[in-house]
Amino acid sequence: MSWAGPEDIYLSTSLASYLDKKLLVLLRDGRKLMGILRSFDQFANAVLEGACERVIVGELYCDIPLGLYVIRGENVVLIGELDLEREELPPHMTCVSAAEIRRAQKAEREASDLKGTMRKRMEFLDLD
Amino acid sequence: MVLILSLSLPPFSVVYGLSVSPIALVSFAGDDEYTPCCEFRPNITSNYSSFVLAVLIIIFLQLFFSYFKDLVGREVTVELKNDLAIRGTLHSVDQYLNIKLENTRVVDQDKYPHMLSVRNCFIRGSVVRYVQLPPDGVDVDLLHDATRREARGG
Repeated sequence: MSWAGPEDIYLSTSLASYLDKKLLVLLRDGRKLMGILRSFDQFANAVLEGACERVIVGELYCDIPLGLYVIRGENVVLIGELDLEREELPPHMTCVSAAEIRRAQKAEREASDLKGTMRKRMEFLDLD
Repeated sequence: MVLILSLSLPPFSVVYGLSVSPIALVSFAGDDEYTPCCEFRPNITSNYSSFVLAVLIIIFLQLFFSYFKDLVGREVTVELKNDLAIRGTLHSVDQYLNIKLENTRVVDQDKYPHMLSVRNCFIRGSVVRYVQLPPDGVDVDLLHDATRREARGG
């Protein structure tokens, strides 16, 4: 947009300060990707190197390696810089294998689906 | 050469090269031949409503961008459309209202364990639902004046 004044250059929110840093990217579908930012553009499209998806279900988590990722900016919710001196996750969480986390995810999904159908049945009965 | 002046926003007329309001249309003839202004009227009227819509959008982008620029350095809480609420110091903002926060803490930390070590973040403008400000962060009268000024087209 052409009418940004000269002082606005210093204030513009640029991802340049995040280049070559390990980042946490939150996506609109709830996924959490972690990787090193190699490139970006004005739409917040991003290139993540060494990307892995951190799947968290309750107290369990798993890092699934993905490789080189190009993320379309419209799906990006948040890009956070991970502080290397701090713990990335609370200590009570346990790391499990990919297969186990997928099972846990499926169980969680089924539980929420069940909750949804039970609620629908209750609403149909119109108890209150 | 015809120079067309417009009483609407200067950047808008630069982009389109035409006046928004037919009433405000003024054209000056340069050294050579004079082109009558009525030549441009059919183009204006056919796109008038989309011009007005674009102008309104541009006005609001400018107003809130300027407003957030004045809030840099203040502590704000940004609530996102996915219900995540992040408290932090406003570091910078841009024309898309993307927000960069420093010294961030998530409001409900237990629900978002993955955000534990995130201290600085970039938030895409399109996912912001609310920006919660300190009570003394708003000079309401100044904002009212600015809004009235923008709405008038000045």
